[in-house]
Amino acid sequence: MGCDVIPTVITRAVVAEELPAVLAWAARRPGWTVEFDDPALRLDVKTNHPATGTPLLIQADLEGYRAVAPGWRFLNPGTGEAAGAPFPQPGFRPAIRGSIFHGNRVICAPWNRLAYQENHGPHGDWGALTNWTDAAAGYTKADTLADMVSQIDLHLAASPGIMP
Amino acid sequence: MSLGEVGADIAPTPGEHGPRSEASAPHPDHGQITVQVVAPRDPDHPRTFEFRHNELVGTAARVAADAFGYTAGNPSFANDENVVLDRDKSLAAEHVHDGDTLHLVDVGGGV
Repeated sequence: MGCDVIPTVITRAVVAEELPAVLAWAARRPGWTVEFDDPALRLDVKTNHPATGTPLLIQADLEGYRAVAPGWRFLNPGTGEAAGAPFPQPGFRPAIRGSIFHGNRVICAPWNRLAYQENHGPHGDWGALTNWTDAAAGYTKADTLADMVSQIDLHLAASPGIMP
Repeated sequence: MSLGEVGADIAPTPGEHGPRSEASAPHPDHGQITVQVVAPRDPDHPRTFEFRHNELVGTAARVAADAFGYTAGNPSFANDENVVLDRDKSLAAEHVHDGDTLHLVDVGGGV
């Protein structure tokens, strides 16, 4: 597998450095599991929706990481495919300004490369994909894989259910 | 920062349980509290911080975030019940007590 941004050997080295924190983070939270698919350079995060108990599979495509952000998306936990994937409804907490879960079924955060217009996401205002650690100042911020999973957890806790 | 200074990280070595942190608890100054902070990027090594009880959550979280190497963002704390604390309120107003464990979170919203 190749990448025009960064060699996979570099990405693997970065992931090897960050993975222990993600695994340790998940180990502290009942119902969360994290698995790294090394050949595919993918991180599979499994949990249940806190309000409905719906099984969730959140996958990060790590190709090109950290030159570009991972590509985070929800997949159908039964098939591993995008079709039929449950997607959380946006929810709000008083101390958080807005949800990362959008009606277009994209995790709308600068640390998700699928949110950028370049990848058919809604945001053409964040600059280049490689600007992800500085994009959207003042909004959700997560610079490591563990921080990203923590952000997903935070916003899931505020989600009232699954989008129809 | 020196021991006892507001916002001081009194566990300079992650995971250390040295005499400096032990000496601070129980703390004689009721205006100061000592809390453990867990950060997602280093969950196996919580760090100990000493804050004024009337310190703003946002200010205290920034100190902790800096110590863990976080830059920018909107750091706050969540308690063990996963309740996110209001950055604009004091630790006391958000019912943080001496000895509590707080979880560092970023409360910047979605876009």
